[in-house]
Amino acid sequence: MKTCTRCGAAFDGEGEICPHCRRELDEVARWTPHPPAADALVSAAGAAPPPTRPAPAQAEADRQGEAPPVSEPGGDDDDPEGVSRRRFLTNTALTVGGVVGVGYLALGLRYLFPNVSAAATPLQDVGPVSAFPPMSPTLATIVQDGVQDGVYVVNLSNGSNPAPGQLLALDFHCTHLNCPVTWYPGVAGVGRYICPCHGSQFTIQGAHVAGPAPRPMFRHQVVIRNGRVLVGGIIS
Amino acid sequence: MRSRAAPPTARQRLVAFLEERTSFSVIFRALFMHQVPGFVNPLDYLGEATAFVFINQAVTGILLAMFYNASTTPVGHATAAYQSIQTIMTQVPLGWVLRGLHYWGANAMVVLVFAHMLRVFYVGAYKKPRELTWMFGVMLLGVVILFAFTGYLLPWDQQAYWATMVGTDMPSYVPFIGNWLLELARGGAWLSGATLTRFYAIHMLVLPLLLVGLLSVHLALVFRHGQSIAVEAEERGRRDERYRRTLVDFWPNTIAQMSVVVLVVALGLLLLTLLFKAPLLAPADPLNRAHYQPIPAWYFYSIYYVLDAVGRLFPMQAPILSPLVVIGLPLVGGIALLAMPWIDRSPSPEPAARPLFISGALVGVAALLVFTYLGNGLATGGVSNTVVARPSFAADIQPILSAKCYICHSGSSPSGGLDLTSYASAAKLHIWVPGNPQQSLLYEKITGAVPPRMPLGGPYLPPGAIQTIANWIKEGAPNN
Ligand code: HEC
Repeated sequence: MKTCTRCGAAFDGEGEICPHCRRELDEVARWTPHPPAADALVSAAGAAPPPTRPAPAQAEADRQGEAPPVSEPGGDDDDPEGVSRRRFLTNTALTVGGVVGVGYLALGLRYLFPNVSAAATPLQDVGPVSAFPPMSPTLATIVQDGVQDGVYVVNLSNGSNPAPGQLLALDFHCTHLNCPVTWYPGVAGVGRYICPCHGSQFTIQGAHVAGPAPRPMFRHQVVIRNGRVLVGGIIS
Repeated sequence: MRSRAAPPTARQRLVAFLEERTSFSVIFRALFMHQVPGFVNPLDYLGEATAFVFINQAVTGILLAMFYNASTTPVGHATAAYQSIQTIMTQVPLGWVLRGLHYWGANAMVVLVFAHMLRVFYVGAYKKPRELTWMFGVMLLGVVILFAFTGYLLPWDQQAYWATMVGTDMPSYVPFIGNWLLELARGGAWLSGATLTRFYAIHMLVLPLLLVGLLSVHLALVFRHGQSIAVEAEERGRRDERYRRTLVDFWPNTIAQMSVVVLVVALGLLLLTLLFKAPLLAPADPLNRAHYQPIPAWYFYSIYYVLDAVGRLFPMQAPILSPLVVIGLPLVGGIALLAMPWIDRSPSPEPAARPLFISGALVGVAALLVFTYLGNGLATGGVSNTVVARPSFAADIQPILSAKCYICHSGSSPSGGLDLTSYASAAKLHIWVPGNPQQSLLYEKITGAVPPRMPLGGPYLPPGAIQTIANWIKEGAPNN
């Protein structure tokens, strides 16, 4: 009985290390790209390096008694100049995987990304100009992506013939977190849009005056055509 | 004389057949045939409980999908999605039970996964070599929250629609790519049928795959480290006879204990389902004609409250602070959780050896609970629904007015010229007739007897608060 110098277990047989450790070291040597390191490992354990298997080409040549073929440049694992064959294969696999993965990702993102430009929402008739009395915001409805959207149409003129710029279409979603605001006529003497969620307030023209909203209300396209008000997509 | 062995039974032959082809006994033995310490803290089964709830979600979710219709096509006064849930609740045999199990399972999942995390934190079980197990657990917590968020929209009722409107707007505060994220989440500028199909696909395909993947790694790591405990226990058992006698076999002892946990959780879900029906509010109205006040799901109450508090405490800075709360807080929290094994570098996992981290976590959890509680108050209108028989103006009436009316009835030019901030200013307009609520404008306004009903635009006062105000007027509207 001897004691293995590597793991300390008792064993019978040749050498300084037990068969178990021998197998493990062989395994390590096979998976380690640089033979010198493997040698160092093994000799540190006090044993001879594992027998190197002849390369298949070499073995073939030996059997046929011919000179071995000249090895191609850069084709050897331990060629210090070029990229090693192993490294090249690894890089190839990683690159192919990466390119294909990024391809699917880009494809998916473009596919999922919606078209929300103002042009994507056609102008929609929300009623005659007379339905929007001066200085009293009135909730109108347009349809966007098949769902109704509330828009306050505001007539800032003092009659039923507002000039461009005197007619506003303000989206009723608060600019803080998109809760639906309501127009309250009496508030603060002049009236305010108030958000029920965190209390943001806006003036009749949609300017932000209180609460956490970061910006004025969203404005929709609005035009008057043949005495009727048409509202479109969001422009700002 | 040759002893004649009995011929193998059919079961033995089946086992031998499988064994020869799969070597399954190797796996079985590796997973189940080891010894573990006899006493296990029930809290250590929170992970198993969570895993069971996930199975519950998978089974009930698949069954619900057989009837659910992810479409916003109008059907009657609602959408196809809403009507299909209505059908499940009222017409499909035991449909309401299945939806109840899924609904309560979703809530239980959030609670259990969080409790499991706290337990693991408390015993310091994220320390070496379990850092990766912990990180995968944190990612699973994220997936569970996404599950809850995407599932919330599917009934397409008022609560679902507006909570998701708010929730999907939050990413818009991310610098540079915010709007892009928002439109990607919604599939458009606002919520639409595109949002519903998108959420449904994520809820039914993406998240289950993600969860199973992450969970496999999480469990594989748990088993791997569980093995190391078993190895340690067995080794110590070899040296210490008394200790060895306290060890029990994992199979069937631990497995039996786990089955008890499963039973308790299953019964709990069933009880909740039978006692509290899964809610379905009015159908979503994108124009919000009934002035529904959007509120988040209860697990977002804390952030909801913090947002509200920031707006009230720092009204001027609110536009800057709000994004920090919406994006910054969850981001910092998530990163801190992921990095916990490297933040807490104390060598010992013992709670007593990590006073700073344990007390820090206690403060964090306490804050979370308190904010959730306060957020609940906000969500229910911030007004008590309990009727007070003999109310005092200062203690019972003023708080209702300040919570629900000051926003308009205070300041230099209050709505309708009515300043409600003090007894004297409120009394000026004679909005009450002492002893007679029916004749009092105040009462007529909050009940809607005289339109427009107050608080203008809603949400209106809960019935208990209205009764309290009526009682106060009946008592002579005293200034007490
Ligand atoms: C969103 C703003 C708003 C809120 C919140 C609100 N009010 Fe008003 N209230 C108004 C406006 C505007 C008027 C005047 C409009 C009118 O009379 O048609 C008014 C009028 C009244 C009047 C009638 C005053 C009069 O002399 O005609 C009473 C009474 C009243 N409110 C009570 C309340 C009470 C009580 C609450 C809280 C429970 C409340 N309001 C909340 C906006 C509000």
